[in-house]
Amino acid sequence: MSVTGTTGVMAVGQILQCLTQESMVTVTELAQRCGIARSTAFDIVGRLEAAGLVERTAGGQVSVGPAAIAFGFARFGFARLHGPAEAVLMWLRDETCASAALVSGSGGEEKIILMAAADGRKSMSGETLSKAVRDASGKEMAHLRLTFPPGASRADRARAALHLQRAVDTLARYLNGREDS
Amino acid sequence: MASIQYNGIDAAIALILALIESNAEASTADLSRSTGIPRSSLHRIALALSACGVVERSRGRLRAGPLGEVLVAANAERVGRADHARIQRTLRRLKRVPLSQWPMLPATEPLSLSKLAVIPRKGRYRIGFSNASMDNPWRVALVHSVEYAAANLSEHIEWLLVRHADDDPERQAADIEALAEAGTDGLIVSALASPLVHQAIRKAAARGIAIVLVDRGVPPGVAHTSFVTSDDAAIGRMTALWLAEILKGKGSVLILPGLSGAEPAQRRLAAAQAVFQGFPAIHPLAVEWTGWRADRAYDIVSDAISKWGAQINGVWCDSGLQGVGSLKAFADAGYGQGQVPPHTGGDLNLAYKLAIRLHVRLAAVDYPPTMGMMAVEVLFSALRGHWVPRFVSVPSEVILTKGSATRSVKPNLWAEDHVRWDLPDDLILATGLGPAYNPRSFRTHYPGNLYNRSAAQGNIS
Repeated sequence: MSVTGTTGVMAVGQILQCLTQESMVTVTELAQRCGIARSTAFDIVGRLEAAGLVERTAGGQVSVGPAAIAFGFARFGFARLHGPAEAVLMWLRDETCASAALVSGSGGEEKIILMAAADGRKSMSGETLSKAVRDASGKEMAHLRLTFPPGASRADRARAALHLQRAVDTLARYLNGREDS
Repeated sequence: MASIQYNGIDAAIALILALIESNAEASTADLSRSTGIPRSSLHRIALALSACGVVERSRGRLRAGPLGEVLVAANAERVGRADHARIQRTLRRLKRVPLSQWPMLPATEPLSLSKLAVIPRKGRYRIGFSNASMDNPWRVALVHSVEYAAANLSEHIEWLLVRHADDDPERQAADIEALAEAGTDGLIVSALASPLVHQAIRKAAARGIAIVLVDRGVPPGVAHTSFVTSDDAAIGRMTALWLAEILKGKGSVLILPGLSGAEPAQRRLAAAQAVFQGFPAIHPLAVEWTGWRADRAYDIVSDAISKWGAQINGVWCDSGLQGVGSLKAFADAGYGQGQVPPHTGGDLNLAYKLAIRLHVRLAAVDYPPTMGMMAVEVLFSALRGHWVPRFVSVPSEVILTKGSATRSVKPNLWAEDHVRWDLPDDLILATGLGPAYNPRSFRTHYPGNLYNRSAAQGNIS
């Protein structure tokens, strides 16, 4: 096998970068912003779309695709959680009425990867409960955190802990490739 | 090995996909092997991609670069916006009691999730709703709930078609097939318990149509994306426990479940009977299926009163749909205020009205038609390629008449605060359609309906 040149490789990176800044753009706008020919942009976007790295609406607007989000999750070492994490966080928030977040790292290096905020609450301040999501070797890859609304009773928090454990067990399955079909 | 030309774009894409597969980081040797890109070319590609932050290079290894973090942050923003919109449409309409006040412990096994294997064509979605029956007010409320959700998602829907099977399995099977033929992307099905219907669902699923069941499930092996319902076991268990405790553990009860062929009724009855078995001094006088019909319950209870009279210490109904018939039978038999035995079963405004007027001690766990709205949302998520839970349980509340709390059963809501004296008797109270919702005047507009008429129109007396 051989690779003929790296023409367009930079454009791939530029297009993905551009889509992180503007969620829905046309291919023509992408071409202008990335400084590439329109025909090249159409070619690249077509290939990126086939790979799932971008998506196009029926109206022709381009946005980041599921494979690109999975790539982002891969940066943190849990590509497989992309997709399941969103569903599990929404479920956990709906069941507990607490904000639910998937968090990578710890202490000052923490990053919130994804969050389902309890109704009307954008802040993650408040009493919290966290559990680790571990890979098959037991290494902590991320943790799920619940942030309770003011006034949540100890009994409510204890009940929420059961839901949290269920969510963690679910994500661990997907992380370790043991999901049911 | 045959020589294959790989242009730079395809090679860059292959490298990104390989880094996803390797879960962030791999040696250039491994990546070269897995992608088929020569190492020297891989090095050039990686150099170009690292300038945009797509990859990071170090000592013979490549990993997903800082652009990955930007992608994750952008995704989090997008998800947050979509979630906020969904909350405005739905969660605000759900009544959720504080966790510790809900008497059932949560399940512990991991969630089961599903995702459509094939995402339907782009553009607005074509949605069908195959409804088992329209023979009581709860069914009307379910249809209204589905239509309300569709109206909220109008910009994303090409059409919603609603078909009522009127309890006829052949008709429902034909409805499902017709909706599939019409080009439906996703189906919401409240399914009759029939092999004909199950087969029609299987065939629709095999065509790649997303199937979200609502209210009634199907046997294992019938493919579906999700099942949205409420906790029937809780309805049965909590109401039976309340009745046993309000009778101080002894007495004779009439057991009047709903429709014998309907799975929710079967689950509720099973849960209730399991509770009654724990009270050896509670004696079931009879178990009579009512079809969730007030007139049937009236006849059954009138006969029971003639036969047993004052021996009837309590009446267990899984819904006020038939409960109102029982309450009326007692009233017509001359039982005055405070003399009618304790009853269970809510849902219907008239059930609460009668219980309060007659000073009947009542317990209910309403079966919320908001599940129709949730089913539409789950289907919408699935059609957009998102993972969804295979099972969604819509929350409910324990409702008691004032002064009726028992040792184990406390109210989340008093019946006196739940009832709507200003609204029709046939109003179902847990629709989530707002305080002004009136089934008789409900109008809605969504792609596929005409003149803002509900598909339930004609079934409202």
